Amino acid sequence: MDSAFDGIVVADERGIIRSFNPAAQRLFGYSEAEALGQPVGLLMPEPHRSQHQRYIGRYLETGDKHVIGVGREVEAVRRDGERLPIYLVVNEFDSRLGRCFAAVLHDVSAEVEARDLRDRLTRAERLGAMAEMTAAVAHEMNRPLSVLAVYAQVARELAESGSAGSRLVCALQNIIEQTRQAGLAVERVRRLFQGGEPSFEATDVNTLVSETVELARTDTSPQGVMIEFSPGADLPTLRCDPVQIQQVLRNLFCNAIEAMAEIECRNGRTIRVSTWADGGSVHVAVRDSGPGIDAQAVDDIFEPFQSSKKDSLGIGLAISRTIVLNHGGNLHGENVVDSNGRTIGASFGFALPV
Amino acid sequence: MDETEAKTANPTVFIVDDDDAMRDAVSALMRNAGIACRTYPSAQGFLDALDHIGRDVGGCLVLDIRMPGMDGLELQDALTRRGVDLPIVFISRYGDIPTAVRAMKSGATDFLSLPAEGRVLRDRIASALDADLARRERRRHLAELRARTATLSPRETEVFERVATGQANKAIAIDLGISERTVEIHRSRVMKKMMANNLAELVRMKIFLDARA
Repeated sequence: MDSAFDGIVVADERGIIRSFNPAAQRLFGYSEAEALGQPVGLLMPEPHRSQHQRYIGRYLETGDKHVIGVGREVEAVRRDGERLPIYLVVNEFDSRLGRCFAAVLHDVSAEVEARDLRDRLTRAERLGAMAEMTAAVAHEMNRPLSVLAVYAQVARELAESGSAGSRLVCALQNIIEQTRQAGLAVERVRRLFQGGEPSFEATDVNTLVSETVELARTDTSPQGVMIEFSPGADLPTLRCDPVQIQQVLRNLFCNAIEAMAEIECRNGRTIRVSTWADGGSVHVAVRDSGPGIDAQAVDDIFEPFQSSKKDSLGIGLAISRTIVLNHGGNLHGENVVDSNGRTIGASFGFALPV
Repeated sequence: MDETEAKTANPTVFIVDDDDAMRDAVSALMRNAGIACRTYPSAQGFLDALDHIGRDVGGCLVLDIRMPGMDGLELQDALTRRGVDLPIVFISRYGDIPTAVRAMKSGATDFLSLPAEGRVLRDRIASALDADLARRERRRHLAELRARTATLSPRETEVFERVATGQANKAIAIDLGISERTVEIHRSRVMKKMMANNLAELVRMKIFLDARA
């Protein structure tokens, strides 16, 4: 008990501290002599501090267990008043002192800190996704708005000159058309960022990937692109949003097809899709035989509007990354190199936690 | 070239933009203002047409900065190499300031970030046309003056140089080793051939010519 890593505090039926191990002394900052004989409520924040004796009384009377045998995260108070997140498990036993309660206290402040950081990062990612969406809307809207502004002026001039003829009707018709285009642009961007919050369901990743590959074949075969799928064995079922993950896969396929369209591919144009399980994650990788990721672009490819392709909005990877992050995973990309160190393609993939 | 064939004497607005709707819109705006215009869906398309248009055409270019294939800045370079100095109003739907700075440094007349009010676009094009008119007027004037100086005899040229830089007849006579009376005769011939009404006009012509020598 003395060498235990976790703090162990034993209290009797009256809630008086009877044992206080060295780990508990370090945790709370009280010496053994100071702690022994004190009410155990001393180690708790209000309102538990003053209520603790009642909790014990209630338990002894009714037998209803609140903490006993059930681990939970609670706050403890150190001697200097600082609050400390701990994981608490209480067990009861009979000793020569009568019925006693032994509390095992594990300091979880490092875990809590990591969790807070993760929460903050998730919030930041959400804000990032919003910023991306805002930028995408602006980008898509500028085209119809530019045309609208000119036709509005044309219509005004025609109306002012009193020539309400076919040219005015034509200008107004264009205004209507461009307004419709602007609406479509907003809808398109909204769909790109579909849902925002994923709707999770139990999914077999191999089925999902194989369906997506089949769909993609209709796009790839006419372009002379082969697409192969090597499903991993014994993949655990995953909780994910199949629509969103399919969107990520389709985006990776599109990128691969476009990358390979740009060059003469020495090794043919092939997309190799594979899945495998490892630890607590299911991995999906999409590998192409294209020119690879440009060394200068490698840091930017996940940023919105970074596209080496002239027609592309360049937000596909940014959205895909946001989706994967919302699933608790991470999207990564790297070049595939042969034994001579030559780049023979790019590989993009993600791992999702089970 | 979906707009009426423009006569080269009239200023023409050349619209180069890969967006069909934008070309049509700016054409309609120009038509309202009674300005001739021609449209091209690509920079290469405009370059190809340039041989027919002729180098001395008057007008201006409304040029989209970002286009697939040759972009606006590349077209600007190509035109500079060919000695075509039409004023350019660059338009961009991407708010890219660094590109705008580059364009202006390379001599673009104007840069307009879209969407902009149609009235603003019209006024900017009108300013570019004014600049082009002034540019062509200067060029015509220069050609005219050079033609006039070509009619001067070697002795008259010597007298023109000296009179226009403010030398007195007496000084010129000593300088050239001729009589003051002979200087006067040459001087009146120079005034006549250069079509200058007075000394001040002759001096301005000399300054204009020297600045573009």
